[in-house]
Amino acid sequence: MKDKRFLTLAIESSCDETAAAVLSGGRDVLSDVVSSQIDIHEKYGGVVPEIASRHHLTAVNSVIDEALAKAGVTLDDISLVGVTCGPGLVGSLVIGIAAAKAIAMAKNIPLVGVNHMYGHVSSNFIQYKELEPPFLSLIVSGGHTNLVYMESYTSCRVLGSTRDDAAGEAYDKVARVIGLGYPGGPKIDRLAKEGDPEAIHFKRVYLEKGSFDFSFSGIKTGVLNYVNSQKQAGRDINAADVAAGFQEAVVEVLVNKAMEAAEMTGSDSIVIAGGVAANDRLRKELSSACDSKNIKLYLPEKRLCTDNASMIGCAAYYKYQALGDDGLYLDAYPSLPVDAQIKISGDGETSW
Amino acid sequence: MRILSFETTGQLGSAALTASDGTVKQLFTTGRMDHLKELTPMAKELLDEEGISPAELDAVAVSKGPGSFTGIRIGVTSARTFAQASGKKCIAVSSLDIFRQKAGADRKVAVIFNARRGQVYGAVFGNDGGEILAPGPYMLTDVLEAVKGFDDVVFFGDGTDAYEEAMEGQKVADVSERYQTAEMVAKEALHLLAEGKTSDYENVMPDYMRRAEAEVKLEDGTLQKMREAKLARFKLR
Repeated sequence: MKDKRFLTLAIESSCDETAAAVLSGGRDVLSDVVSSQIDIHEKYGGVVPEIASRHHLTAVNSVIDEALAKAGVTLDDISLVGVTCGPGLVGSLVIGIAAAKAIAMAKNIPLVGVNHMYGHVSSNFIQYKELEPPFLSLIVSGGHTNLVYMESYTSCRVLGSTRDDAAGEAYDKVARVIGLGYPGGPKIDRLAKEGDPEAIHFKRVYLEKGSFDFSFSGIKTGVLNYVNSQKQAGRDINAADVAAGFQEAVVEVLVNKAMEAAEMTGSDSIVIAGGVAANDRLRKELSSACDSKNIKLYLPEKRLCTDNASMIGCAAYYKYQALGDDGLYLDAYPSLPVDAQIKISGDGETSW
Repeated sequence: MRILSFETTGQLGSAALTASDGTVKQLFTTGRMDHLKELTPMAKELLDEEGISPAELDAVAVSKGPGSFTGIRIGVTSARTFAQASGKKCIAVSSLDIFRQKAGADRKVAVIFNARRGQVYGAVFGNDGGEILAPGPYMLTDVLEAVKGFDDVVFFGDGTDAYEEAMEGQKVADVSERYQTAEMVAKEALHLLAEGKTSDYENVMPDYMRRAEAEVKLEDGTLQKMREAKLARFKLR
């Protein structure tokens, strides 16, 4: 007999993690499985799309099996399949989507395509059961840096975006230059704890007054120029100080812009999401800034910040409730805008 | 025997279903970039038209490559997961091997898939379908060498379009039968199923015939040299 609960099977494969989860309703996670490829891509100094795609293919079926088994259910109990359909690496996205579509077709289960960025925000719904839109959200990851105003579970207004590098991207590039390798975020965060954030000052870029856009390529170039000039002069570089100084510059801009956006939108809370939200320095600085302004901070635990399928299942559930399913014509949308909500009609007509 | 077949390694994707009378029904994608979008809707349409459910299938078949890397993955992941979800057995066939069907008393078959820079994934099959050149990655010139001296060889595959000039003086199959299709996968799968040659889905693996470029570069040291060159350029500024 089919499980009486509304169960969602979610699949995520937009970058280098193959993940599956089972949720009851929108917020109750029954299982969450992640197969990470970090060790594989570390040797290449970053994610190699072709290699990531090959690994997703061999991992996805057992990850799904494990998620079902850990939740103690079978596909016959599943009411909805949700999958990340963009943005992300196209070759990676394809695997999760092909798998999700095959399950939806074989078992005649409704299918929903999830915008990865709505997924990141949704990780907060899993942790904070009382949280409901509208709210202000700062999304910081390897591919994105955005300030958005979540109007509902399925719509948002973009207040600001990065004009060049995403914050996480700048971390990866700086880590490479000071010899830390991939993934840059956690490695810089760790090393920065041993350094002095005031020792080297890197210029903060705020862009024009009142703008909520970001620019991190200037900070990154500042680090590159500093490292270069020190090497040229034959001076040793204190990598810990560089890491701490760089991180301080990035975090300061992120925190200040988020606080300004809260003031502008009259928000009494800020919701943080994305892989860079796992950064200790950012978490600490945001906490103290919010405390001083009496703003409630929603900060998901670290494993919910990095890519996972639970957040995709949560976003899929709310999208299905509000907008219905997408059907079997779902495709991969590697450049899906942060605020876009894919909608597919019965004959395959796609809009967002 | 009811087999649902996927072919997504070439420019157009296709799905096929063997009907109860042994005939094969087949649908093609609209365009070259629609494999992922249209494969499952085509499969569903075929099943619905025949009025059968996934549970009534005997097996799921797929061409495992070589061909487009992304295309291979769409077909193989779809077949693996469909089999996983429906509890069916899988049959994986080579996208080159299925061209044996085209051989006959009057013609030998040369298959070439474009692998760029003078390279192909290719094979040559004799009149009885036997291997003259085993399926594999070759230079185009290797395949041309293998067919030398035969006057009844017909060329198949998208390599005939990519290397049009080299096809001068060779017989090239009409476009109606030049490329790999799900129907060809289905025909091969019917034989294999009759012989009991099926696999569990987790044993169905893609056959790329080539390693990822980055993997090769990491091993032969090119990747390290590229990194050093990049850093050296940076230092000069």
